[in-house]
Amino acid sequence: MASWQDDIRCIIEDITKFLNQVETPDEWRQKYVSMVKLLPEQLDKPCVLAVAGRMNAGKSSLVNALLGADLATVGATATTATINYFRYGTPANPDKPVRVWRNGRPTDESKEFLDSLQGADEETLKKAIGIDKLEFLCPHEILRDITLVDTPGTDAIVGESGDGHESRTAEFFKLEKQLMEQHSEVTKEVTRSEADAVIYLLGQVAHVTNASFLKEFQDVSSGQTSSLNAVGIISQIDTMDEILDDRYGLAESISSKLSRQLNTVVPVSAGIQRTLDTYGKKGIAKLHSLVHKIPDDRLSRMLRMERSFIRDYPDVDVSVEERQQLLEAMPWRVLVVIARELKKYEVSQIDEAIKELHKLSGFMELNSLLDTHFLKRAKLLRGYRIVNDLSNMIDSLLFEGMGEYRRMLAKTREDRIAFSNFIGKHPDRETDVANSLRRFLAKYLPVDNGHLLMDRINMLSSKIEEVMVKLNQVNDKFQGLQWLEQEPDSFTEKEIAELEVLFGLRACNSSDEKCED
Amino acid sequence: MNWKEIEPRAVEVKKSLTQIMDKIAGHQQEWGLPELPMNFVTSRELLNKTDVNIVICGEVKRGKSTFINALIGQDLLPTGVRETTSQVFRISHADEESFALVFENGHKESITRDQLARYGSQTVADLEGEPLFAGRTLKWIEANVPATFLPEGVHIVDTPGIGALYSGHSIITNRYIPEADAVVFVLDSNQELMAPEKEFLEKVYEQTKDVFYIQTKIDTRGEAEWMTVKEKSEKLLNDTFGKGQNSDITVYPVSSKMLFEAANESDEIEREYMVEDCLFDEARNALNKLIYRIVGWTRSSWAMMEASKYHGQGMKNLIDRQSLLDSDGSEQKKIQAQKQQMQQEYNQNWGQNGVKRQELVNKIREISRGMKVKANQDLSANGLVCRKFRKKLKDCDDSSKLENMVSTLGNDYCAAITKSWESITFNAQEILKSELNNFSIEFCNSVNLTDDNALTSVVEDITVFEKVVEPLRNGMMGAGAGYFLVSSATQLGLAGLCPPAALVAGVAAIWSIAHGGKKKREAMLSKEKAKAIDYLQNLADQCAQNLLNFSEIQFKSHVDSYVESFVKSGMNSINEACSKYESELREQLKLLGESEVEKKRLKVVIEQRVGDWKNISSQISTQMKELKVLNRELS
Repeated sequence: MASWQDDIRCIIEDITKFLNQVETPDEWRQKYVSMVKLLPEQLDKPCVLAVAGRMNAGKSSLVNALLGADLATVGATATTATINYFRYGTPANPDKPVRVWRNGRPTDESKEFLDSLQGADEETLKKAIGIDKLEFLCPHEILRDITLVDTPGTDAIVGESGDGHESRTAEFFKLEKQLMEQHSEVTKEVTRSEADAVIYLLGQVAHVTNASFLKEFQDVSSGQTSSLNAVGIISQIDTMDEILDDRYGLAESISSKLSRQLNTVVPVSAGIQRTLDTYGKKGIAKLHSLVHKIPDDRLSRMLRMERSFIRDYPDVDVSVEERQQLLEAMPWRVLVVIARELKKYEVSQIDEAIKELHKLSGFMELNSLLDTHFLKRAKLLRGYRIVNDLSNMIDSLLFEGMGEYRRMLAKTREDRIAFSNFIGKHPDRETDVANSLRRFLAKYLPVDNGHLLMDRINMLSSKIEEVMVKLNQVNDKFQGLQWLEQEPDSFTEKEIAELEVLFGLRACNSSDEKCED
Repeated sequence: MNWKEIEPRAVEVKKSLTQIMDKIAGHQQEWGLPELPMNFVTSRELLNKTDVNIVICGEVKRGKSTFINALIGQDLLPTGVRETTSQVFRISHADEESFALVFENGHKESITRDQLARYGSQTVADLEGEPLFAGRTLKWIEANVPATFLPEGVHIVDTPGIGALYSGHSIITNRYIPEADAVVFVLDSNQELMAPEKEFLEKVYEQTKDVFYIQTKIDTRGEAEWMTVKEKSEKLLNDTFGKGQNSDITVYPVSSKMLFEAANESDEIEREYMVEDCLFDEARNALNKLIYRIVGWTRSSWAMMEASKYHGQGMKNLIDRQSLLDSDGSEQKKIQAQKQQMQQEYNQNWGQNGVKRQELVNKIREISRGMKVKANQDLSANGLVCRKFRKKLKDCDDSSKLENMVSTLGNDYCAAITKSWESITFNAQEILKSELNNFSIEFCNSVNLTDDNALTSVVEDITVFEKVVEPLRNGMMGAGAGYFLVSSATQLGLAGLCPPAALVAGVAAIWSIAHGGKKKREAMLSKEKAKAIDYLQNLADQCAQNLLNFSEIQFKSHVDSYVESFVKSGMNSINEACSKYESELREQLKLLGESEVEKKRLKVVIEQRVGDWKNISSQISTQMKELKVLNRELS
């Protein structure tokens, strides 16, 4: 049996042939040939995974924690937040790691350029307005199979126009509005036409705007795969003790409420993960010994609020400056959670402590989830997206293109009949030229009224459907396997491995050779 | 500011204003002055009504209930890490604790403190099932506890969070906005003001300009971070709602958690620090100020405005009468003839059975009939909305899409019904408004009124009408017909929205579909469809039952009672406009018809009355001055 990738290539070829045949109207050729030409290449490109959620939900922190680098700008204002792509690779010039796209043209910029985009003055807005997207290259394994896209958050307030605030001119508001509209447009556009899958960030409980965003994503990205394409994340579980303690319960509760939209929900703390990353074992050990210098009672009081942390206490042996430095190194609540956790372990138990902190951050779970849901299925997701695009294209040919084509045919026929009538009334109508002209017209007068093209399009359409069915089967098997894996008692690992082979899933995981042959 | 010192003065102003308004009302009757406008009557009523509702609202999980608990210094309201508050809680000061369920039909049922969570917490409801109220709609859960900072009659009202996936919660909260004298809007330190919050606030500002902002959970962020969030929110709020306000909008940051922890702290120095760091005092003082201002100033100032407006009108009438008597005999004859002619024409057109008036009454009845017909067409069990949904289900050709549709069917259907009803009432109001406008022009033409005052007074009546339809007055005067509709949607939202279990296909079902043939799949789909349509029909029946059929609360259907109050408001508006003109005309003709001797006597009487009326004016301005002082001290 041919692999679904071959089937897709085959259809693309058929469509290209169809577009290039003589009968196909030129407009269609102009409109679609270039798009179709890019698709086979797209099939092998990494799948696009969008990180979406409300403003301030922690999207950039999550991307940074996932990639283990401070690439995305955290805490950007709603207006100047740009859309950021993270692709596999290493920047050619390390001093200019940011590729800025304006009107489809790239320029490489330094990190300082990013800082200059942070601000709410007219100058900054003007700078931000021409930017389509930012691109970052990063040699992280995960990016081999997927491209991450960090989107500006949803639900931000679009600036109101002028109200006598002296510092803000009408021009400022115009720019602000234009930018905000651009952002929401871009976010929608990315999720609509480019993203194969989405990581969606949530708060401690589900919100109606979460539900409506996910529903829309589902409607536009092939609805058949349903919730498989979206994974939910409760980010920032470090913000409150109650959330941290009940994080799995909360995830469960959201996941049951959005079960149609989200495959699963994982609680994570990007802050803890990033701190573990940047501090390393040495740094954490230092923090550990620092924490142990402070008496238990005092520490728990100090960790109530940032203000109480930096107050001068006679019984605390860690200088205020040292404490200030800690605060600068990590967010306040991350410090609280880590300090409290470290306090539970003796200095000699540093490894266990770090293990526990990793467990709290939830990133191991997240990574394995991304692996099963997106990395392993990356090609499948891509395939869905391409078939979906093709199917949309054929639909538009059927519903818009054909109508126009028929109108055009009707017009041509009318012209010919008029011409034929004209010849019939002409004084020279009996000459040889006129006769052969008439014969010529008669031969071509009953022009095809579109049936031929229609049949071909229908044929293509049913072929696409067939591939879709095939993709669905593969996907169902995936889902089935996942289900089996979640019920570890019912099958042994060996049996699952056998089932994988049986379902042909092994063939489309990562070993491309099997797929191609 | 010292409320203890201000309070007696504020009470004094209220008392004086009540006396002034009663005096005006007495003279109006005795001297045959035009009838008192509805706003005058309402504001007079409010002056003596002590209930003041401070409604606390905000997005889900912002810490509203925790804030209130901190405010009253007790662990009273249920709080938690999930969606918790599911009903409205109304808290008032009392020396002795008591708790009760209060229903829309006025029934009251005592409960214990321990039962608060059973009736008002979603977390408990999710575990043990929604509480049953035997078909009655719960209005609020009453909690009377010692809360000395609350003046007599002032209630703190806690509401369910907006934006949660429990459809009933937002509906319940929206229903209580019309009851609000002031709103405390709760934000938190993790997120600046968001678009859905702004939308909600737009509705709030239509109701009251007294909105107070709290930013909770400052303990969860570093100080620089929560300050940034606060500043961003303040900027957004001032950009959107700051226009026309006396001062900039301030967001008060607090940590309710710290305040509670402070209460349990044994170390005294530490405790003092905590009380200081949680910033609660500042917020509480500012909130107290707002409460005092509402109790001491807001209502009095409205009443005063109405009193002074009517006083001006009365003055004009008295002076008109005076000048009639001042004119010489032959001129009086001429005027009398003219006025008689006017009265005749008026009676023909606008009198109790006048042609024009009847025409307008018919118009109103026609509009209301149209409203009822449309409601039946659209909202009934086989109505337009239901048919649209049925078609969508029928046309669905994919079982996962169907599942998706069914999972939100309840909410979607309720939303569609509510929207459809809103557009019906909106259209009716628009038509009525334009009819009343036409009427106002015709009315002025026909009674030959050239002076602007009469015209504006008619136009004013139209705004009065709008205000009557407007929920504020509705809530205060206890009519509130339009809002019961939403309450029935709530019942639906809470009770009827569970899709049949069989429709929620699990992974197992997907397996069988994936491996079954096309035929099997189609058979399955059509079976599911039938179930879904059945479910829709149940929903539609329930909705129609709630909206169009007899209800035990009002002894008529919700739609009927809305239509009825609609007609009543229209009629009132006409009656008020007519009677104002009619009574004055009658009064003037009566004057002109008196004998010369009597006229001479009346001249003296009227002079006396003008004097009395002027006297009232000076009383009003005394109170106005006092109010100004109070305003200054209170703000």
